[in-house]
Amino acid sequence: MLRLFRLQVTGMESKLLDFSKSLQICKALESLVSRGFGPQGLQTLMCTSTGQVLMSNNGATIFNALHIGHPVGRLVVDAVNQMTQYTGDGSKVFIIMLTDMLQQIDLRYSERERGELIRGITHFNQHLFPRLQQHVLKHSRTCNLSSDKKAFCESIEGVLRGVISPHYSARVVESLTRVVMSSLNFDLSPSLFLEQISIMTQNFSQLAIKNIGSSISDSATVDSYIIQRDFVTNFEMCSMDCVKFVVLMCSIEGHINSEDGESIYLSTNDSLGNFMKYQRERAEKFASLCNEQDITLVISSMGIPKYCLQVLSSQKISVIHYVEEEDVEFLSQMCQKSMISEFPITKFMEKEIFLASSCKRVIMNGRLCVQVIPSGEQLAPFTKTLLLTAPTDGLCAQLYTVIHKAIKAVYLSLNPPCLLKTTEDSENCTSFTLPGGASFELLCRAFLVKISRNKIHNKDMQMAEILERAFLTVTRILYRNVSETTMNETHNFLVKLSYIQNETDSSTDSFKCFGFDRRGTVKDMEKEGVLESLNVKFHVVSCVLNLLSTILKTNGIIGIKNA
Amino acid sequence: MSGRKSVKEESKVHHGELKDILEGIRLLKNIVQTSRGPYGKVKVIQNASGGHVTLTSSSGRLLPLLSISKPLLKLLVTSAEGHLQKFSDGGLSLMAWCLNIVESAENSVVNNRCLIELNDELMELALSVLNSDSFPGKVNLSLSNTVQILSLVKTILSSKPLCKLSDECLKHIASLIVECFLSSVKEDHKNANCIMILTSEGLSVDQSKYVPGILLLYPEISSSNIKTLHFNMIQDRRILVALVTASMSGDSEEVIQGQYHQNAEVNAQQTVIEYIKTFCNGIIGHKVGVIMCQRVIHPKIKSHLREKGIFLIERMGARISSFVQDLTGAIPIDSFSCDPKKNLGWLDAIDHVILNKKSYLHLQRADRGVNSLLLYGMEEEIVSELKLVCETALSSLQNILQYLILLCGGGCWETSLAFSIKQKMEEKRSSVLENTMCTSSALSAACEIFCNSLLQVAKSSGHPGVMMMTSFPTFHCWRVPLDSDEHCNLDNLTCSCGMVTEQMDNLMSVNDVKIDSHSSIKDAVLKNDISNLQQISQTKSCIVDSYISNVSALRNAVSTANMILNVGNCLQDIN
Repeated sequence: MLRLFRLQVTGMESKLLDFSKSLQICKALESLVSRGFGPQGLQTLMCTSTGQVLMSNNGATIFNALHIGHPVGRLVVDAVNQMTQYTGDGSKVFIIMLTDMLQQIDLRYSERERGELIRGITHFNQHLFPRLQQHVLKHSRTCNLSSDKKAFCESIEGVLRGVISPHYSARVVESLTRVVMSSLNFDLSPSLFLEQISIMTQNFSQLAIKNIGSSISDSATVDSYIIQRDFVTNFEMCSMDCVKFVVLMCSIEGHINSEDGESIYLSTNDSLGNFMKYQRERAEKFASLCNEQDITLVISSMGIPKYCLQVLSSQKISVIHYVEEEDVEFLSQMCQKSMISEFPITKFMEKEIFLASSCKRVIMNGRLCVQVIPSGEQLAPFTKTLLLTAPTDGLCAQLYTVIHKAIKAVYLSLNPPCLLKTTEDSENCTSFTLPGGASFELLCRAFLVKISRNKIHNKDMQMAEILERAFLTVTRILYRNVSETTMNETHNFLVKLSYIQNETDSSTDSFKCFGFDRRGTVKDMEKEGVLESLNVKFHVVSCVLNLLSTILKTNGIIGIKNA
Repeated sequence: MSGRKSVKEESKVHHGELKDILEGIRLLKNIVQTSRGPYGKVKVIQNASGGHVTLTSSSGRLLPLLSISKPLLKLLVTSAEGHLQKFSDGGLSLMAWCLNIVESAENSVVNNRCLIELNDELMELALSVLNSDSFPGKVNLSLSNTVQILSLVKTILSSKPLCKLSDECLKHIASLIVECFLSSVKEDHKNANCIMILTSEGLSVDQSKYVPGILLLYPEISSSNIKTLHFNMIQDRRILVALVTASMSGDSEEVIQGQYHQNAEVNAQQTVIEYIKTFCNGIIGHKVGVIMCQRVIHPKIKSHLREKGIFLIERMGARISSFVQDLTGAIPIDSFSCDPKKNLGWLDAIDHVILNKKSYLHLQRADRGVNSLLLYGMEEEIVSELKLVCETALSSLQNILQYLILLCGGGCWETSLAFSIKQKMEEKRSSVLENTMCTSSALSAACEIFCNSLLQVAKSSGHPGVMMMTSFPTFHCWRVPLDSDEHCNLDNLTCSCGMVTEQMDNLMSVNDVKIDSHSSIKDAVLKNDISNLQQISQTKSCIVDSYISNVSALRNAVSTANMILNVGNCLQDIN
């Protein structure tokens, strides 16, 4: 006991955290991803010590691959992870803004003034940020599924394109956008459409299949649900159109929990024989139960032993076993039916019998899979499964992350921003988007510049200025990445920036959002079909402000060393 | 929680990775390009601690043995291995194309991202050229005569110099493979591996042969002299066969898994053995002659079965048992509770044969399309290489059944494709520029890089020290020796694939071709030439390549090159 106590004391270490150290760490992180920002971003290749290779331009993936040791680094990476879990996109904007703001603070404010800044951030969050959101919302592109379907489709397509474009070349982006669009059903009612997207976001691992093939543009969609298992017996009996099936979560034969010390006691020479006979009878009973209720397919999350299969096949019942538990759960959730977790006594309940309009064997990725198209009245709105094709395993993983991210962003673009939550009814499905290519940043910046010209509170003034510059930096890095030559880069940027400013100032009534396209030309990005989800953008900004105040508040590290 | 500590100690970050690996790219390119084709050089591979020495010039054996530390090159190798797994052909070409594109892209002034988009466009164009009927680098395959099929097999076999096949041997092995393949093709064109390849060292290649049925190594019978085997037969002198995939030694799934307790006098083992014996007695009742077990048979059951005069083959393994299943038509018995009668298969005969001083069982049944190919060679490395080449040939034959198209080999289709792309690019220049928003000079540079990589690879498939020539309008390639003093028959020069004959005066060096001058293509001439190609390929032995595997290799190469060009930093874990 005493020893333990001493250990703890000597193992503790307290250190003052220097502000510049935080800045240094953020700078290092920023330098890692800033070249990857925007549609012309370069990818990062990650290589594990065992030689596995993964390529990605996804900020969160890169940061997690780093395994950062320093606590502040961890803090930043955790914040990025938490944010991307919600938004999917925006990790690079996050780190660029954070670094820039830290740098400004480091340059312009002394340690004493920083306390003031923390209050400034709180004040800004309460007063100016809502105004900023209102302003941006006024210029955003809002469209409704029920009133204007075409514009709605376009806005979703735009968001997808915007998220995917930093990761692949233009042609691939187009084909991927098409594929994802074709997996969505736009003929649903608004509330069902929202549910569809939400199911896709939450159960993406079930609705996307990684397929190692020749090229990414070979990705496609397939109808409905695929069980990626080829542990199938006598499936040929099950190719009929209407299939009734049950989902088993327990084993037919029961099981012995060896960990708890359960065991079977053999008292005489016949015991084992009798036991085996009993087991067989049990399987036969199960098969006859299925037969009575016309069930022709059993999907089981566990392995079913060979002799049970034999019994079931003699009754012409097909079996898919060793199906992953998540898959089974997803299926039951979607069909709104329940799984069987205990051996049935007399018969299966109505809610335990699943219906499928068709059920067939398909070959995917050189592997046998089963395609189940569930039917029934209470079926949740899911229609297509994405087949993501890439030449290697690592590239499949990358594609998977990117598409998941894109779907998340689409889902968020359909959520009304928090300001409107009370006024808008949730029945309607409306998308809130803004043109891409740094249009959002330019718009916000213009607003901040305008209000800081008017007389506002001093505290707000500082924050507005810092934020305005951070937005400018994001724009500049984007321009640096997309412009083809490095010569006169700053000059060109400033010329284009003032051009945009003039345009926006002169035409006040017919407002246009300008941004940079993938060659660095100033364009109306809405016409180019690149859009960004408003919600994602707001969330990123508020997360940055949050983390910034945390870093400003922190002054020491207490570490417990391993003795 | 301390157990969750990451084992990773440090991550290393490289910026501008591509420049650092130029050296590596050149080295790998050199290895790959010099290995290609019949004039390729054989590589000797041995690890630093003096392990096994491998001799090879085929990507299927070369790539797994290379240990590559640079992540970018690793990416390429992984991609090539993925392709090989699917097509088992075209791995070296894939790498050569990719490395050529990457190397010249690094030396060019065009922005990488721009190049990537243009490469995508060019690849699209290339695919449309390859698909069009007026492409002079491909011929349609007719299954009515075997000349084209034989040409394909010969091309593949001759592409690996280590096999040291003389013309006689080449003819022999090619006809073996084709014969073997054709006899195993079933009605629906689907034959999943029905050809078992066995290898043996010490005899010369021309003694290789194919036998219908399966040869099974059976060391239980002495190999000193041939023994006559006796079986329980049913009518028509057939031998009934039961194929058991469950273990017959008592560790089956029949009883529930878990802990068991027993009284001292209880003998559970006996119960299980009795149970299996009951099953065996059921089989014996059907007059079964042979029981083949994928796993082990318990000695007590063995002796019980032998007493009843049943011949036993055990420990076959999963690979052979799938062949046995095809040959005998037996359904594998995986549970002892089934009715064996429905699952039995039969054989015409089982003989004991001695090949190269080893005992084999020869399982035979007519008309099942299951064959064994016996390959001999003087030494181990030659045999391994030969086996790989034969596997490649067989899988290529399977592929061409689905896509009845062949490409003109020996570098002809690559040259032809390169010039067709250049032509098409001139026509479509404005629309491509509009799509990609690139500058015109960037497009020209990208096109040059793309076509050059095709030409480079075409060049490497032949003898060094020759001049690459081409001719309008087919753009096949001719290799004219540089030091050709003997102007003997310059009138009729045949191109590399052997399908086009031109006079020396009509040829021009590939570097001198000016696409603009030929912008007016005479369609009639081209059409005539294409139908000529078709005819010649069906009558005489030419050099041809499989369409699907090569086109897919090209696609893979371009997309891999794009990926490599797109890398900005590299994170490498160091433990």
